[in-house]
Amino acid sequence: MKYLLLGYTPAAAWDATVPHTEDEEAIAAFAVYQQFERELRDSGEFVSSEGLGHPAVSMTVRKGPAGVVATDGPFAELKEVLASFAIIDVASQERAVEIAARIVAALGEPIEIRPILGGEFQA
Amino acid sequence: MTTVEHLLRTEAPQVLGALVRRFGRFDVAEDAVQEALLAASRSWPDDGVPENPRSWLIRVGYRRMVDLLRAEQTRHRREEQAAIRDTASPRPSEADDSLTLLLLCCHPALSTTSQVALTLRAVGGLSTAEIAHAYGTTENTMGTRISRAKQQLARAGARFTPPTDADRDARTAAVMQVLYLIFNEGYTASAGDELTRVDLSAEAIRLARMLHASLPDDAEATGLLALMLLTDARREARTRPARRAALAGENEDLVPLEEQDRARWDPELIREGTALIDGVWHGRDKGPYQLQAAIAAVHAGARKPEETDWPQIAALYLWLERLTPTAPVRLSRVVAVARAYGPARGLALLDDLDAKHGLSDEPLTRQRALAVRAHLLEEIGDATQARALYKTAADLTDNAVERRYLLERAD
Repeated sequence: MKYLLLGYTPAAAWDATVPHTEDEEAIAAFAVYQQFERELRDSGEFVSSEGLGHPAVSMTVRKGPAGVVATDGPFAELKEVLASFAIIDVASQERAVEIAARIVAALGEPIEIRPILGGEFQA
Repeated sequence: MTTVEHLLRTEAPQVLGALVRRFGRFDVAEDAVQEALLAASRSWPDDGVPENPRSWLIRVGYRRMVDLLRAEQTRHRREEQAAIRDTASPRPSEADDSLTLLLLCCHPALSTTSQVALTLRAVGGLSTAEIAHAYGTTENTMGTRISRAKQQLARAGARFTPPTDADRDARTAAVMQVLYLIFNEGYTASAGDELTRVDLSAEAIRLARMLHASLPDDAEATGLLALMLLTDARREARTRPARRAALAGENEDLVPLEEQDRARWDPELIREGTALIDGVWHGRDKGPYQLQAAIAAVHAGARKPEETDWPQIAALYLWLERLTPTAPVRLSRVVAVARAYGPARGLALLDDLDAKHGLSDEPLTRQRALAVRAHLLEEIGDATQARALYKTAADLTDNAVERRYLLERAD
């Protein structure tokens, strides 16, 4: 069964990231995560993962009275914002939690686990 | 230009293209790229150029873009409605950002001065201060002009997408005109401080090379580059130290084409320019840039002034006059005809064109028409009338170098 892992990060920390100096601690943490991702690929549990752009560059498309419009934003002030996601295909929810726990241990930021509903739930 | 400067200017349109394509907001992205270029110009000379300069610039530009957008959001707290945007614009697999950017900066919603300023900044990667300097204006004025241009683009709904085939020709023609204007500004240097100004001619040539690389099959784009190279080849020989006691700040005399020391023409630029124009000359559609390049190539091909193939130049000017019937072109044809077939034929043509098109009344050519007439009268032996006309022509020009030249002829 598939799970969507949503990685959140504090908005303030993201804003404060200095653009062109590399943070060695962050690089080391990311290396640990990459190693773990390789393990998941080998076990066949990994489906995909991506990092996201800053919420400031996001857009929202919605239906309004004048038809469908695209707007810059949302600009809601959130303490924690979505920064990355991964899709995993595992045997149980327990295993999904175990994987998320290892990622959180490596990267330090919270992860939300959302089950992806397969056909059996949608019929 | 230093290696770092050259690298930054080459990368500028690529970095801007990457940001605009990904996140939209050309106005904000353009500011962000400027700041990324600035950050690089400060740190690279000391810290060294990063392994992948483009992705460094994209990363820093992206971060700056986020900062700028965040600042804008806190200022406005707005949810301003944007126009519906293209979610997926069809793009060729090898997206050419520099061309798309050139076309965007030369958008018809903008005035020519705005097109020039925006092109130099967004595609050329020049700073506002450098552009202001080159055009003899303040950084503030230039900055306002550039941000107003970007607002106009946004209001006009200009998009970062290649134009449709229907208006593509008109749009590329606007780009060529802007590049040629930049080139001429650099070549004639009408304003600015000689020592610190950016070399606009070199910048225009660089952008024309970029345009030619983007549109290798466009004969006019090739012609434009050839014209610039062949003109620039004569730069060294075009002026000489003033012989007369110079007016304050003016210490160079203009040397007319036929009196130029041809050994000082740049053979490499001539070779390249001539090869370019030869390469497209067999094509069917001849445009004004190809014709002007061809004329420059004929001049460049003569080792001595008297070896110049004037009948061919006269024919090319006639062709050019049909495409662009302007006073300066007509006047140049008069000169070519006089050289090819004698001063009497030249004077007759000048009388004829004067009667039909009023070359001596046109502000653009009034002074030069007088000078040409004076020169032709001198050649057929009417020295008295020639001298009077040279003096009248000298009174009409604001350019000290040109005035000095005309007064010397009157002596």
